[in-house]
Amino acid sequence: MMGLANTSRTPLTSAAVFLLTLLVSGQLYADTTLLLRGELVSQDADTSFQQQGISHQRFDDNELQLSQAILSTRLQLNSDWKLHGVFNAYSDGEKTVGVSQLFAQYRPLVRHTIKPEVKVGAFYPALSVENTDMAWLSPHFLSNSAINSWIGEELRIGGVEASLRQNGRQVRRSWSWKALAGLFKGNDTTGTLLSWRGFALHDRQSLFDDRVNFYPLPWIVNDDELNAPAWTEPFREIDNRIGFYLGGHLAYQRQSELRYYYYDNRANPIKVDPDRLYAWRTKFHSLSVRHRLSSKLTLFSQALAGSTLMGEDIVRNHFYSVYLAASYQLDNAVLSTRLDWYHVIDDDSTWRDPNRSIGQAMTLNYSRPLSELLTLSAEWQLNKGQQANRVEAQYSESFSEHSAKLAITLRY
Amino acid sequence: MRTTPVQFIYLLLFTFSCLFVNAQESVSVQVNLNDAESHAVENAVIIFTPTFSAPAVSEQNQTPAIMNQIDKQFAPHVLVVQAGRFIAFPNADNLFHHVYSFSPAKQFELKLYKEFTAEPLRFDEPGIVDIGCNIHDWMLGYIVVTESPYFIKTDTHGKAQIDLPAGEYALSFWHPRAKDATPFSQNTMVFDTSKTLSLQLDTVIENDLGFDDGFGEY
Repeated sequence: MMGLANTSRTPLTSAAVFLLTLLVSGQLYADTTLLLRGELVSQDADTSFQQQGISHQRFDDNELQLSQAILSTRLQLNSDWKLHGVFNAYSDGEKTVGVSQLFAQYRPLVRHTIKPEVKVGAFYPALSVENTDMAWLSPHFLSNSAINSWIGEELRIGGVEASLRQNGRQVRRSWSWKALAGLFKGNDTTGTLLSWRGFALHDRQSLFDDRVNFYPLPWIVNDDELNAPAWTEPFREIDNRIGFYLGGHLAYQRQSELRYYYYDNRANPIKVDPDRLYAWRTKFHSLSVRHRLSSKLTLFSQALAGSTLMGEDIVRNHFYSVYLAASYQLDNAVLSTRLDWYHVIDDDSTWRDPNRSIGQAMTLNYSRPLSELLTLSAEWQLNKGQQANRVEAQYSESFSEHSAKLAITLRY
Repeated sequence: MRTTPVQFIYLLLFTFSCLFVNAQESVSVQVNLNDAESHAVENAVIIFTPTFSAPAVSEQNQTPAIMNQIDKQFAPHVLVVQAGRFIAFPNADNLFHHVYSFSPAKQFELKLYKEFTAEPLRFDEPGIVDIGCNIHDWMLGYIVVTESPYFIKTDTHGKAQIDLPAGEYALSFWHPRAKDATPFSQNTMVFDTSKTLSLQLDTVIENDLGFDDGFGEY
């Protein structure tokens, strides 16, 4: 279903074209939102990873960028079935127009207070309490946390998810819950970017059949060494194995929420495809919490702990990341701050491929609605740390990336 | 036949006395409701069922009552109507709602597209009708259908007022978050003069946060 890279028309693009045709012809009831975000970026960093540079930034120059252009639509097919599509365009990257999510949702009306739901297609596992805006955007920041920047670029479920949920309000209790399990294909290369580029903080979501570049480290690209490309296709299927994930949500009224997920792509790490892309066996635990301290102040946090294995112990890494964030509602604006911490530990003995990295980031965001349609956002970020493989590229191990962004978002 | 001045005065006196007796029969009842921690209780319903043969209530308002949907919430959260009333379900949101009820008193399903108002539904059977939205789980509302035409619903200050024909009434109490609770020590009460009832529940009513601010599905 997924990872059919570089073919002219995959089933996914056919489905997207069909969906757009239905939309344009007005044949169906649809909730559709258009979002455009222009961003003026001023940064102190090396060449972006999108241009195969060594930095963790998606943009290079200090010009106006189209950081997001999204058409998100939900079509009501009948009482029980809905079709969701998210179409994106970007000014950076290898694939600038495409689809980031396309899935059908079966949500039958049942009498029982424990209610079922099934999703089929391409979608995010709902493990983030940060990306709660439309199209997996964050309502608080221009850039996502290190954890969710990675999820946005290397993880998407191409498969099926089934869940049961009970809404506490309906049964006059304070607690609501949801339990879910999913099976998927694709995602076999997930883990590549964490190992070879390291964690990054940005808002570029990978599209289907997208390709994400990184610095061509000599050991990776040299013919007589690994001989792999300096890019990854995050949703490619390499070994035909089915991965799985499990999740649970627990919420207390509209005050606190906790989400736990366990993910395992069950990839066979010794499988390589003709493009010399390996399958990476990646698994992780994710725990997210959100707490509304008052009507103005919300705290949220997420922790990620996992591992990835490629080849016969060619790459064996453990990775960890945590963020803590707060968002405060002012009279006519929102002030948000986030602290990120991340660490990749290199546990293999491939000395030519050091993957260790460690870093911290601080982000401050001020957003103010200008009208019903327009929002102005200013964001400052400092991301600094050490990354061992920078030395292989003749850079110092330490890096410090500083950025300031001014964005205007149109939502219609 | 000509009316003499004396007869005219008797006629006037008779007319006024009739009005006076009618006015005497109506009493005003004010309610102030608090929970066990003395916080005002909103959305509590008190139904007054006369134990006597109350004068017929004038033709009830035939325009449908409104249960709106605004910002992914039912508005009002609690709607009280007398049995036989029609209720309209407009959709003020710019998105779909799929309103339903499985309550024995009224079972229905309405697919409400944007800015869409379904044909009003008639609620004939007294009882509590829980309504939900299959798209937005957190949306929840209640329709209380009463046999009696005499009922009140407390406001945000826990207050409500009603004019009742003087007499004895059976009292019933309902609140969405206080199952089986009642602030009344007796089942009936006589209202022969206007009065203010200061009532207190022996339980604490927790805040019911209706908003959907990012806690919804995505």
